[in-house]
Amino acid sequence: MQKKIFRSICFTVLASMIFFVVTVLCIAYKFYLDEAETELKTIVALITKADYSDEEIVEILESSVDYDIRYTRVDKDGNVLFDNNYDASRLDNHIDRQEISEALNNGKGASTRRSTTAGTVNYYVAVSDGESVIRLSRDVRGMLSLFLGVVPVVICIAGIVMIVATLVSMKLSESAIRPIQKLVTNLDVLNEEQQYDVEYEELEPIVEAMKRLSARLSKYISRLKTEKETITLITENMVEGMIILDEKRDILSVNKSAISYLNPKFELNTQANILQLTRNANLTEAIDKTDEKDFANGIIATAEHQLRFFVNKIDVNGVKGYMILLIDATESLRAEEIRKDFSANVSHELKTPLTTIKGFGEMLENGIITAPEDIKKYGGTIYRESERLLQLINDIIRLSEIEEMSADDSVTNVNLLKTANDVCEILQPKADSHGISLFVSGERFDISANQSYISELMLNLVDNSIKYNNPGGHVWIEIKKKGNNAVIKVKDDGIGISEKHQKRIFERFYRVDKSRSKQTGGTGLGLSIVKHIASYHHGSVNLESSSGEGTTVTVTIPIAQVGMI
Amino acid sequence: MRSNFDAQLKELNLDMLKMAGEVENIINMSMRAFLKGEHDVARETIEYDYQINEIERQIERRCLKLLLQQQPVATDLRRISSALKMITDMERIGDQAADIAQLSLRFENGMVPQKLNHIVSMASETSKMVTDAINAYVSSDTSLAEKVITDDDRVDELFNEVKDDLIEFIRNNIEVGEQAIDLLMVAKYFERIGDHAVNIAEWVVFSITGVHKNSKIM
Repeated sequence: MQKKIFRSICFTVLASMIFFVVTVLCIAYKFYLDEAETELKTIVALITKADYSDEEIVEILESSVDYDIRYTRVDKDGNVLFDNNYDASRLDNHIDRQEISEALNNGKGASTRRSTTAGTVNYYVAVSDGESVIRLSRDVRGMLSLFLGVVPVVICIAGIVMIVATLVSMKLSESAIRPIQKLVTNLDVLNEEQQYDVEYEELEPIVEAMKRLSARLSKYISRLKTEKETITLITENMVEGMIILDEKRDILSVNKSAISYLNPKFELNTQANILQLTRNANLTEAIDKTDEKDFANGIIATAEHQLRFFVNKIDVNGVKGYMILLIDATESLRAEEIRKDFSANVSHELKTPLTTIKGFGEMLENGIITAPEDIKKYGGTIYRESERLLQLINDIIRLSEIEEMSADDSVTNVNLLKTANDVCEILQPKADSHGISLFVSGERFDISANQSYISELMLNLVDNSIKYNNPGGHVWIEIKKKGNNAVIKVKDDGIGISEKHQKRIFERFYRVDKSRSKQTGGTGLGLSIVKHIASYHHGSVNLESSSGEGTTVTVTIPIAQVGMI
Repeated sequence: MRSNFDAQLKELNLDMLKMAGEVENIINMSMRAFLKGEHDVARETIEYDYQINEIERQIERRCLKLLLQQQPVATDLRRISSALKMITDMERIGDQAADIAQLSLRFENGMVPQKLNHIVSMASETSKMVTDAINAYVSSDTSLAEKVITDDDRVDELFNEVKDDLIEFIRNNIEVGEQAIDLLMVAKYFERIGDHAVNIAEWVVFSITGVHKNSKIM
């Protein structure tokens, strides 16, 4: 703007200067020409009146004017009588010269034309005195060149004026622009409350408009900021991973969870491609697939996680991209696996006794078994198998009850030592039949727990110790207090469990020796129930055993149940 | 001009990542084919190798075009030339994975003796090396690349152990000689894959530092 003002000032000054100088020069030249003409006319008029000889006239003329002047006298017939520049006798007849013929006819004449004699453009003035014509002439170019001598001076002055004008216009334009510059520098801090003085009143509406604009803008920006913060807060803190990609699969946004799931070392810099985050083939394929059907999902297995992912193709107003959601499905996939195993196991476990029952039942129906002792024998088998089936179903119900925590969850004061004694009482007949001795020892104290669960726990442990024992073996039950925990220790000197089975012993339906369990009538759910009851009470189960030497199961349960009662 | 070049370099990088992903994929597939004896997967693996060859040619063309048209210098030149070398190694890994799959077609389901623990750890070790080498490339991580180079010693060691295992295996059952030879070849292929991973890692180091195998070549 300053440049433009400066340029326009300069242009105006220059143009007016040129116009002025040219006009003045033209007018001055015209004056000068007129003056020269008048001078010649006056001289001619004076000469005709005076009574000097030609030589005298020439002498006077040459001494009084500082330019070349030609003096010619011509008679009535046009013959040149005298000329100060040329030899009169050599010159031709001058009757056809415009000014001379005019003078012969009217008494006087004037003309500007190219001289036939000298070859230059001359101004002629001629006056007739009756018998001869006196003519004076002067070179026009001489007049011009004389005049042009003034021009350099004029240009010099014009130049000086230009320089001064330039400097002044620079200053002027600067000072004209200063208030606007000041406004620009203050634009950032412009707000509605603050009074702002503008030097130009024409700028006031602009300042007002700007104030309104900046107020609106800052409001808008702060709203956007809040929105963005909210969204960032949500995406950054959600457990699910979220990735947004553009059309070229460059990452536009990725949250913390997604990075920690896929590639903890990844650092988002500008223009990172999804391939830099993860090269998982399932995901890449799924993204490819969305090009056809807008939605795809699948599972990514990383070292630590099983992730379920969903890819959505986004196409909003021509902006294309992909949105990927990652959900940690480690637990649920494992639970699904366990459920699958469980149902497979449970149906198998249920099928075995039922097949036996069905087979013997069929034989009885068809009258294949007729001997009374056989009927008794097979009837007994059917009875035992039904018993086992019932036991199995009970265990399963029990287990799912504990799992669901929906069963009788009343928590009372339970005396562990008393419970242990009760359990031993129940199992004493069984122990006697196996030739096992039961011993109970320990401290007498109460814990808050579910009585029936705790009985169940001990029943299962002691039952196991009796079942998997050698005739004449021992089972020791010890109740102890250890810090804030109650410790139930069931120890036997039975057959023990070899190391490779120990890891899996708590799994449902897992049995160390399948053939043996048939005899002992176990369901394979005992220890699973123990584990569930312990974890229901926020406790833990520990198993130590070596093959042939016996097994020790230690259950640790907090004395006071936090968050219960 | 430069921005166009940058865009092309970026495309090259993406293609490299894509190829890397496919190579990781084919190793996992061949491992599954071999260790679990899934013949369908084995056939799929052999098929998949063509895809890798195709992408190798594509990257090769891109690299040559870049070298010809842009005449890159310094870092850019290193990146493009190391890419050219790396894709050769990646392609070889693909071939070897396909070879393993081919061999595993000859094993009956589950016939890979469970006792050969060493060959199993070789498989997982080499697959990890390849992944690490590619990760080093992705994140320009020289220390990870160096780790891959040293990891190869472990694979070589495992190869010798596998060899000893197999000698023992043949000694005990003379009739399984043919199978043992096949297994030895599988082990050798894994060992070669490890070597290619080392090559890739070395080129990663070169593309970052300009030093290849401890000698400054550019």
